[in-house]
Amino acid sequence: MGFDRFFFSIILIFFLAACAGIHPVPEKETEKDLGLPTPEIIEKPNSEGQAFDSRMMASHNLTQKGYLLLKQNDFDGAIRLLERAVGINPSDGPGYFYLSEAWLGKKNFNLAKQFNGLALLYLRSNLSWTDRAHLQKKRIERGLNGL
Amino acid sequence: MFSQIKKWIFGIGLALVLFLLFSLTYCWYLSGNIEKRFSGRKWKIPSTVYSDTTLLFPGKHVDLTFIEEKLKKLGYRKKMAQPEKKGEYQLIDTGIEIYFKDLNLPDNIREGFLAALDIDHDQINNIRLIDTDGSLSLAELGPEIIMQFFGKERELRRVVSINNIPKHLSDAVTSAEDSRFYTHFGVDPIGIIRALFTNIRYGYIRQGGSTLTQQLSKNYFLTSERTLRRKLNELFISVAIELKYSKDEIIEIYLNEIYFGQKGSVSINGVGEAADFYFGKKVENLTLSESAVIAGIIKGPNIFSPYSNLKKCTDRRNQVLHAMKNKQLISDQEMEMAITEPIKTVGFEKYNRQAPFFLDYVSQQLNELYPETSLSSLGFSIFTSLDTEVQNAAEKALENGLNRLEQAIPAIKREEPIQRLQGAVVVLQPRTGNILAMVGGRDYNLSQFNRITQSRRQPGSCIKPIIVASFLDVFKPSDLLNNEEISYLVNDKLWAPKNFGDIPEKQISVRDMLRLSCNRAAVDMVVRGGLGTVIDQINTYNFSTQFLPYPSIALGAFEVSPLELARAYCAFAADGIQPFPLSVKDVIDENGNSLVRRHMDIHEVISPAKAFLISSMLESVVTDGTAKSLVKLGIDFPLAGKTGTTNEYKDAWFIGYTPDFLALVWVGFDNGDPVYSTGSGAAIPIFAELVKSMPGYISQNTFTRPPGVVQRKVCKQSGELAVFLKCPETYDEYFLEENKPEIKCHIHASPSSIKRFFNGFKNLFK
Repeated sequence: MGFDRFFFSIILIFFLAACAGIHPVPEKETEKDLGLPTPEIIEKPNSEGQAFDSRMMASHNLTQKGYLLLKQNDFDGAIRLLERAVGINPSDGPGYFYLSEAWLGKKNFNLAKQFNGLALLYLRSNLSWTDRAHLQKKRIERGLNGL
Repeated sequence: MFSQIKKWIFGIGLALVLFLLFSLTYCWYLSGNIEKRFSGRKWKIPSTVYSDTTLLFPGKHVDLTFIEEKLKKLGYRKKMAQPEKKGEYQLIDTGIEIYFKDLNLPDNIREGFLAALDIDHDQINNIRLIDTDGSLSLAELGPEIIMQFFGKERELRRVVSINNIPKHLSDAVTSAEDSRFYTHFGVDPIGIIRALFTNIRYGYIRQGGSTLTQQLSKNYFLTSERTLRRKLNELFISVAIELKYSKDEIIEIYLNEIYFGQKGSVSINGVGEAADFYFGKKVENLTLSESAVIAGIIKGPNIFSPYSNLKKCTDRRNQVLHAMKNKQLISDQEMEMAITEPIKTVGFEKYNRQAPFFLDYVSQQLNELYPETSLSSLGFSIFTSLDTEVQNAAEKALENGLNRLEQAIPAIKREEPIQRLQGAVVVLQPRTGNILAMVGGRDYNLSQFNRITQSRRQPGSCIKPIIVASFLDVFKPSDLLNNEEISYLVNDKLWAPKNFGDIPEKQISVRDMLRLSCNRAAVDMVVRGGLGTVIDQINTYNFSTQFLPYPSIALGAFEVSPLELARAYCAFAADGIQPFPLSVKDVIDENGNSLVRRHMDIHEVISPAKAFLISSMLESVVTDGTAKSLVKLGIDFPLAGKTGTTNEYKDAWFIGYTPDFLALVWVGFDNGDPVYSTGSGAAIPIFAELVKSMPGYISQNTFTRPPGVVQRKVCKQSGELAVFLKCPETYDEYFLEENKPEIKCHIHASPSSIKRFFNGFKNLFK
């Protein structure tokens, strides 16, 4: 009896398994996804050096919004916000990175190259960002070479 | 007899039929014209030019007075209690509470919200959301209207749809102007008879018999002449309009057309504009009382306007409300409540053209895209880069500075206004190229010549940083240049550059050459470095000047456009990247479609490392050089800058910058008369006054040292690497990694003991 029940259970599992849905396979990350890291959350400024940090926070707010527009392929909208971000904080590395990304989206490789240069300059102290900026540079070079 | 009567009846009948036929044909003919007129653009809407928006964020330096002024210009109303509606503000002990208005901009659509700006020592500490007690990192105030492209009519109008017009407003207008509007056919015989009787009774024209449709036909198709022919035409056109259009369509056109008073030299037309002009509201937000005020104004905008006579305006409003109640359009209670409501107007500033030189520059660019007629009729919204705070500061600083200078130096005073001392200022955001302010001259009404964009002047020593940047691969900042009097053969003539002041040293470093603005050393650099190199390099800065290979290029002998000079300096402030100067950013049509979108356009002219070296050397100009008076004038933040004075004091310049802003100041006479002052004496005080009035752009941001720059200690006498404990005067200097000093000071370095031992040993066998 016990064996029957065990056998029945195995058969049942076997059949039920056939009815199971296919497990969604994660989509292979595209190069574009790799090039679009989420802006890091910047901690609220402490009282020391607040002026500088606050400027960075304000600029980051705009960069974040620009990034969201970029994800929706609204390149012009993203550029407008990112320009404001770098206007407030001229050393906003991610701002330049996304500006370069937006110009890549608009297939203006020359401007993308200019902004990538600034991104490399201002993101040089952050390894993961630097890697991304280097990858971006390669994509720009491919674009410039018409590949 | 009977046949006679029959003939008469027949004749009258025939005449009536003929008249009817004629009327119908004429109405049919008119309806064609009316359709043509109404189906095209009904109104010419002027295009509006806006300034940039104002960003507020914690850490930003602000002047509370400026914020309050800005809010007033944007139509915000001051309250003595916490703001309850969008567009209100209250000053509090810790700063200001603002109920931000909705924003509807090309890059930001946002609903209004209530927040408090905590301000301490002229700096925003926190932007606190009052409802949730959360904090914001950024808040944006809308742009200011700085100009409208009017046609001949000079009318302000914002067209509103009948769907957005509150019923109580259209009811108020019909009650006040044409109570049988919904029942007559364009002409109201009862109204005409009643008006006739009233006027006979009073002995003067007290009441008009015109319907809304008649008023519309008069405004749209006829002149205001008082002839029978015009009156007949008015009747026919009114009937034709009624035949062609529904009552809702007619009242919509009427409410958008009618005249509501004057804002300076500009007329206010339509309820949309009137609602904003009188109450600072959108038409859909008008209260019953406000609608009755607006309806009452139509009868006589100059008599019943709340701005001209509040008592008459109130009486007229109450008349309208009674008329509405009599027609049972409102209840007794609604009427009573509206009557007790005080009339609170928003106040207004007369239409006044701001930033005229900047707007000329904007117009010039827009006219390349659109003809003047389109700009004055198609209702575009033109968003620009102008910061009104900076613009006002620049205008004031220039005017004050020139007045001060005239008082200090009587020889530069002129009787003829057109010949007076001139000046010009431009302020840019060096990273983006946004033009924040532009003052092209002292008085736009006297002279519209824009000395920032249209003039060409010798830059004098302001050219020197560009010269130095050309040679940074060859010369190091510590390299010594010759400061002795030398004559050069130029075009078969001997030319000996002279220094402006006394610089006794025979040799000075490149840094000191810039710091002290030494002419002889600058020429020495150009001659040793090669004139061809200078020409090649200077051309990369996008000057429209044709530079020639003369040594005097080092002293700014070639005339340049001030805007192009400012643009060239942007490269030093922005890591070697030069932006295209931006004034127009977006052009949007009346349906919100984007027509023009201009983004920052940049290209690299020098490396970030070279830009950093130049900025570092120009910081010395401010801390210890020709611009050190800035410190005394209260400039206590990191700043790089360069003075310039041309031969015979024809031009006085100062260009100063940080990573956040760049400002150029020029002072001189249009005819080249001497100013009898230097860049330091004439331009720096204007610059100082300007930057002290633009706190929003002042931060402690310094120039970031990029890769490729190294620091070394050098000997002041030799410009070579300092020898520890031997060189008497040393300083730290920045160098390009690929062009740094390798040799130790040849003046103070004595040979090492081993070397001395071998030298001594060698000498034994000599």
